Amino acid sequence: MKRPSFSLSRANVLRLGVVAIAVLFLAVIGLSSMSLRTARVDLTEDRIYTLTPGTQSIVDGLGRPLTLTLYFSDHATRELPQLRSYEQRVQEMLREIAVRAHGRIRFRVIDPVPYSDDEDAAESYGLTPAAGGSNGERVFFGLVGTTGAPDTPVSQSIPFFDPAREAFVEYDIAKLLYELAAPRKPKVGVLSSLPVTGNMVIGEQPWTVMRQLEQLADVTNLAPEGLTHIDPSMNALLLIHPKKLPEDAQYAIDQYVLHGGHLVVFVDPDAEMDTSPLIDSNGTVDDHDSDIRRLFEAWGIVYDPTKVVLDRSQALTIDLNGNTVPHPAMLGLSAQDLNHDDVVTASLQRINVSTAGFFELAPETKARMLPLVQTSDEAMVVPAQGVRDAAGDPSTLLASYEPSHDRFVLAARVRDTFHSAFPERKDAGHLGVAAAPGEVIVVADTDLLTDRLWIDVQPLLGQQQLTPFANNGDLIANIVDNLGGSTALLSIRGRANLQRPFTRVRALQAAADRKFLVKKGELENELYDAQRRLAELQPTKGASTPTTLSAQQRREVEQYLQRKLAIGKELRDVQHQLNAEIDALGLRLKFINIILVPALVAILGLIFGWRRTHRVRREM
Amino acid sequence: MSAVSAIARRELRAYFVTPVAYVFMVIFLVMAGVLTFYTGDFYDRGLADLQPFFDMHPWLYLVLVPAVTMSMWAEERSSGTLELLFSLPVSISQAVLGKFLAAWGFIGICLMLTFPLWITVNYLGEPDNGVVMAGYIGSWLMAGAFLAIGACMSTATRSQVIAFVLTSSLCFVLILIGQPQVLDFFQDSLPPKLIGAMGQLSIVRHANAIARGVLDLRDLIYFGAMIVAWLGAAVLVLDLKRTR
Repeated sequence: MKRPSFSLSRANVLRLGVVAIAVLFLAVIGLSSMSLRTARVDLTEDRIYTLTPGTQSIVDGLGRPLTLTLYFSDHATRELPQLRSYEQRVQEMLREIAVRAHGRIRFRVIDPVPYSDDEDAAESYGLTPAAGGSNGERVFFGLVGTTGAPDTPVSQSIPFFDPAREAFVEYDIAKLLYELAAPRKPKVGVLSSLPVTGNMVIGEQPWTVMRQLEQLADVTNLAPEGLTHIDPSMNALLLIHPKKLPEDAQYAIDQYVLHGGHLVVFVDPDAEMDTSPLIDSNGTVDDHDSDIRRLFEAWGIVYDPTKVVLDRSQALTIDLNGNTVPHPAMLGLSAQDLNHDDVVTASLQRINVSTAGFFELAPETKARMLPLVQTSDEAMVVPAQGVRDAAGDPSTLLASYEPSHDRFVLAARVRDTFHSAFPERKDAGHLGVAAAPGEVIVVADTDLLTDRLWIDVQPLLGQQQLTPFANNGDLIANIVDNLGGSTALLSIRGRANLQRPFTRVRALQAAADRKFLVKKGELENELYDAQRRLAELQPTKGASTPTTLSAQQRREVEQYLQRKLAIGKELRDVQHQLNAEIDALGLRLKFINIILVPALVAILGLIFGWRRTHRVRREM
Repeated sequence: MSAVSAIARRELRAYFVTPVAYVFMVIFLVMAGVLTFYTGDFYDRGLADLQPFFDMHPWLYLVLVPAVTMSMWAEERSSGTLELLFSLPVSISQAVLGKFLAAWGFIGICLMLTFPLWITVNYLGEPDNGVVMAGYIGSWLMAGAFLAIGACMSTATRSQVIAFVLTSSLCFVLILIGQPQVLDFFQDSLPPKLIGAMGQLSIVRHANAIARGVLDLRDLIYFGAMIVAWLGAAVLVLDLKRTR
């Protein structure tokens, strides 16, 4: 029998080896992509691809299985690279969450192509498509979470992942998970001395804020009299306009906060909806202000109920006897006055307040204050009585206006490991110091809760049509949403803004813009002067026609038109010159990176080559 | 292991003996700069990151890596020095690994010479330097995968030109395979699972995943497997040639 030669079989073995390598390679890639999903090192500065402990604890606490479905219009977003890269981040985060959940979360991605069942399903879950996809297609980019039995599923959704909320994407997803896992509404208590719930006897409706709150949470109204204990299972407590609160009620609030309760306090130096008489039958003067001095002192908060903040640059105009006048105590605070790094105020555009006070931190406190709403730096502080006196003509407040160049904090989070304001009490369960760091939200205005500052109510077909013109209602909803969730949810903060612009170029651009505006102003003044001279030369209005112009007038008109053209050109030149600085920087950087460095490498190569040749020649 | 490092050091030194290395580096730096600033619009887009720079690397390597590897083994075979190498007390795998590490080190030096761009982006804004670092790691790993393919192709042919063309073609396939246009093209004719698997083979997808700032074990395994597989194939091909 002829045996095959060794070399032939070895060659075949080697060929087989190449095939085996290919198979093994594919198997390794396939297996690793299917099974390995947790081992990773996040090199980003803000650890944006790493779940925060808050999200992890929410995921770990999931009691029942749920499904997360990401609807993303893959085809329609081919020309939207920024949205696609954001989607990649969202998907990564969802995958990470699914892996963390150890099988309790099923994650899938669906591309809802137009006219498909998937598209119908996405819309039925309340996802809102955006316009602007390729070929005019609608872009779906939302998340649906479902849980429960197939016949009675519970679902929650994020209608659209807005890139403007990129810093809060983890918070939004964790909130969805939390709400799916605990579908009960949060319990919220309200302790108010203002008629927030209306008066059914005289047909007064509850304030819109309260009606909105009823939809968001299980609301319990508390009375200050006889209040000695606040149920710690209450997710949040809203304290509105606290006036002369009994000590027991204050102690109950104190202990609620120390036991980890979430408190929101609305105080006001001048609550315009306070219906109590200014001077009561006993002759006691009531300035319609509110305060919880003892508690504020214990928490390190400084607040003066006799002071109101004015801000002429943010003043709202009011109608006074048919005239519109600015009211420097009624403020329309825009996006730049709201904290964009806080989940509560990040996406709000406008908050209106009226006769608001302000907060500061006591010098010796360890508490931290995170402003939510601030004035501009043109604000000043005046006595509340002065504002009340100027009610007839608020513009008189501007007569002696002196901006303080400080930004006053109108609403803030205050964080600390709080100490009790009642260290002397020894009630059962008394805490002298909170076991863990906590926070309270303080707002120095109660009028922002009233309809007149944020909502237009129009009757429409027997129904009330509500049209908000400010985000006051959203602010309260966000606060309750934020505080009503778990502590883990509260700990998930927005990450730093991910967009990192060229700060140096922006600074150059801003300086150029400023220079341009100054120059533009100068030239426009010059043009205005020329125009005025021209007008002075015209004897009577309507009498001058081109044919009746004197020689001097014609010369002036000619000069004016020429100057106008010249100024237009000058402005273009100025703009060009200012941009030249930015262009020159770009050119310098291009030169360094494209020419200088390679040239240095080439020179280095030549030197080495020359030395080498020289050495070889010498050795020969 | 000392044999491997000895070969690697000798080969790396050999790169810098001839002017070819300097010419290569100059071309690499000029092309990287031009592509970043002009094609990638680095300055005008105004964002402090190096994404336009790293986005261009697959295309840069597509031309430059085969140029480095084409002579790696093909020249040894055509000039007859391969037999001499086999007679030395080094195994084929040591020789393959040594030459590969030298080439990888050389590309690493080229990458390091782009540091002025890193300084530039830090001068212009406040970039996330962790992400920039990850971008460099991803790029270097991609270069390693391309070099391993080039090494294998260089063992398969005597002609440097053919080695160049084969390497470029294979790298081109690996770049294209994950592109949405290509996946779309196969959308109707292939089952979705196969399309997903095709995406997993895409070298750009894995490099981009790292360039976002995350070193994921899956991506590292992909590049590791790629390098090991192609170098393993190169060893087998060389062994096969010797057997003949």
